[in-house]
Amino acid sequence: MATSVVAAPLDALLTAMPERLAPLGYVELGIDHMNDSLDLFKIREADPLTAGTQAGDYRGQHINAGWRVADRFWLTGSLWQRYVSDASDTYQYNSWQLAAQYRFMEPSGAWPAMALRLSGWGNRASATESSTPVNVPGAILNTVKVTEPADWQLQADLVSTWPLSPALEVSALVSVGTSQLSYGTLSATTTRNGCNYQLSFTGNDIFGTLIPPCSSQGGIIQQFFDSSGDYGVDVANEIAWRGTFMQLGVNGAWRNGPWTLQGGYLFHMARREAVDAILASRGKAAYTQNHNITLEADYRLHPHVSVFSRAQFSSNLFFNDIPVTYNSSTASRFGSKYSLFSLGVRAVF
Amino acid sequence: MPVATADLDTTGETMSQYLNLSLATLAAAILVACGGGNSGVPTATTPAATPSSGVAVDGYLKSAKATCDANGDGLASATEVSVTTDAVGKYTFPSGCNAVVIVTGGIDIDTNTEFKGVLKAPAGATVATPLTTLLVAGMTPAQVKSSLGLADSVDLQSLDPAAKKSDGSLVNPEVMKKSLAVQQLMQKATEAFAGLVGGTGSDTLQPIYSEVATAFANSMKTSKLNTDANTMDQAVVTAMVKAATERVAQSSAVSSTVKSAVAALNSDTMAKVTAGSLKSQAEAILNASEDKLKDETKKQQSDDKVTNFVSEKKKDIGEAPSTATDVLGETLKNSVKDSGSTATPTNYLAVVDNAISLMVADVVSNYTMAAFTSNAGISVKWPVSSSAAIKFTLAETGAFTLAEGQTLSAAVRIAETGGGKGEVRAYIDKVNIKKTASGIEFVVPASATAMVYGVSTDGKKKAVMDFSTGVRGVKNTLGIATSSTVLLGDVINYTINNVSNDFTGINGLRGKYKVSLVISELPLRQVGGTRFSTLGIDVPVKLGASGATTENKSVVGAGLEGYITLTD
Repeated sequence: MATSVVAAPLDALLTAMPERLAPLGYVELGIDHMNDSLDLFKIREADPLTAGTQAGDYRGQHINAGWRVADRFWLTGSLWQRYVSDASDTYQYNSWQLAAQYRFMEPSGAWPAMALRLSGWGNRASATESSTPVNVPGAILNTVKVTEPADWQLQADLVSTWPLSPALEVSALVSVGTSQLSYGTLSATTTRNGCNYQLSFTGNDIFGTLIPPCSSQGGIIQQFFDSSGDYGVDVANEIAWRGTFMQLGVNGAWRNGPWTLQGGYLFHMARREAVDAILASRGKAAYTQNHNITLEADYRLHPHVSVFSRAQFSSNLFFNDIPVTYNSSTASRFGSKYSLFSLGVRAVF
Repeated sequence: MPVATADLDTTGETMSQYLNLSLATLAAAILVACGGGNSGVPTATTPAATPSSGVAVDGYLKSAKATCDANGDGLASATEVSVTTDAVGKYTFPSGCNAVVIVTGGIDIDTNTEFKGVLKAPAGATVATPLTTLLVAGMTPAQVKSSLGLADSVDLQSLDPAAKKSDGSLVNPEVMKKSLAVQQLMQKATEAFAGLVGGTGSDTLQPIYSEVATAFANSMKTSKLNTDANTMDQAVVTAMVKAATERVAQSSAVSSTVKSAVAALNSDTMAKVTAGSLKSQAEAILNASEDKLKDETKKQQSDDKVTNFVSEKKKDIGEAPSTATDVLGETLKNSVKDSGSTATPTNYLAVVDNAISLMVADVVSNYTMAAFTSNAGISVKWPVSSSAAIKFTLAETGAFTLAEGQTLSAAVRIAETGGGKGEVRAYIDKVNIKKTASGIEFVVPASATAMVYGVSTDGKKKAVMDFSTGVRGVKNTLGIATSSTVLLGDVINYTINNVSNDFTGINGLRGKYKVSLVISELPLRQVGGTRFSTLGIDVPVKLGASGATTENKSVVGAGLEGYITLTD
């Protein structure tokens, strides 16, 4: 299946034999949505902070393309544009992925086709600004702004596909990868002694400047600088963490006339340096595992053109798809289930 | 060197003179050719030259050399006609002089001191004074009079400022004083530059003097040097010295050693360091009564403190301006003000016995200035209670005065000793002070600013706090000859507990601290009249994102440094 060679979030449908439906290549355009009417799990209603808000809304569009550059050898690329909302803000992430897949073993008897895929992918936003108060040990941050938040991943997948019949195949995969998050600048606002301050972070050093006016009587702190760490914020480890991940998955595809139906399950497990330990030290939960189920129905309108509908369900939001959204102040949200629905058109040749 | 308008006029007249002489020569040649003279042929007579004269006045300069600068090069050349002034400064060119007159050397008969400057007078002027020197240096008469606040009716080119009435008093005391004050500025700036290389001779001084005069003239053209009859504008003097420094450093007329020595100075720093003292010297002349004018002039002209100070501090003056510059300037100014005074200082305030008391609850601790400034310092329990107060008595020696609208600035710095980085600095400025019948009234107006800067012991926390709104409107009067009590506990505890301790931990400070205090613009001295040292305290008022100071408020003035040990 053409779609099965794209990286996260569709690793659940990965196959070692993409040319079974797209002999030479494919291009896919799609739109992705999640909103209140599509919220099967009612995730926002389960949390008093997000109930009745836009938290969890998602809309986006993507383009995926693959090209069989040689026998057994595929190159694929994807671009996403995503708009993700929390209770009061909407952030735009641009996502990318490049992958090379080589099938080093053809199916034989009970032996499956086996392919190795190497990919790089990531997400980036120009800035994210949260107006939801964030608690850190030394203060309550009224707003937090991160410029140029980004994540980069390197991922290796070993995919096995058993072509059980011309219309049916089953695949299994195992993946390992590394993540690295980064950011440009971090700033925030906070309130002290009745006055509002703009905070900028350089590493873990904090520089605060009064946001006038302040009507407090007596002395008013105009500026302060704190490199003591007493704020309890370890910026680099909390929002620009490093980590590794591992995935296991199975999926199947069945073709019947103009219809192709796919279903897949993916288990994702992440191990993050420092940030989860920091969360634990604060008595907060760290989420390291995600279960994903992806279902897709594709209807061929023309020998080379089809339309599809896809549903994705996850147990813990989408931290395996957009790791940059996971940090010490957002981690608590990742306990929620999540669903995402997509519609698109696909050209194969 | 710019050619003054007067020079151009003179040159025109000189050309005319040359033309007349040439015609006369031609006529004589014709006569010779025709066998003229006693040949019986009617003879033509050579026109007699008209003598011209003037008077050289700093005080009157006797035995000075007056040169007719016929070639207009601004220098008294050996090839040019020169005459010597008489006992009252009068010079006469028997054959006339329609060029600039340059006066050098001689003795000022008022002060009986050698004149080391260079006076110049435009062609046709009948006086050579410091003011006519400014004219030759490029100012118009109107500009000189405007800058010095002289009446329009004053004719600078003919008025003899030293002229006296029959009763011996000056006809024009204001012009005389301002002429002497200008001379004081030019001469002392000249000597300061020459002193960098140990130059004291006329050959060294005169070229510098001319450059200084030109630079001063350029600065004064559009600035009012005198704000009133007795006061000069510090900013204008500063600009004049800066311009002079830069001009001398670039001049080809002065010796290369002087030029390079002056070039090594920072012109802004030089101006800031010396302007106050130069102004002070000149104002001493302006403020002198007529009967004391000669003595005051002699005293100021012979005061070489500025020269010596600049020479001694030339390395510091080569640096960019800073608070240290202000301290140098204030130190020099005080030195100049005290210069030559052997009398016991008068008209100042002092704290009786150089001592204060700290009252905490019922416990009174007495502290002397000597104990405070000693290496051992004094001990104070910390933190203080809200009722803590200091008590002292001010005493007035003589009768000091405070100018209308006088304001005061004060600053304090408390810094850890022994390697800790903890410190607190604070200042308040623009406090209105007024002398009243009951003492000194302090009023903190809305325009006043009070800031505190604190650093934690480990240096990792810093804060800048604005206390302006908290102190505005505060009014207090410190009695003179009666004890005054100032409650400090509330203020200190508010500062520590409500604001700064949150960031700096100063509530927990213990141990020995160095304390610096500065008060500006208050005639405060130690008992006996000894001046306090001049100190400067920089209080950071803006920080950068890295915590580094990006802007300071500097307070420079009478200072005191000592040690306080904070104990439980």
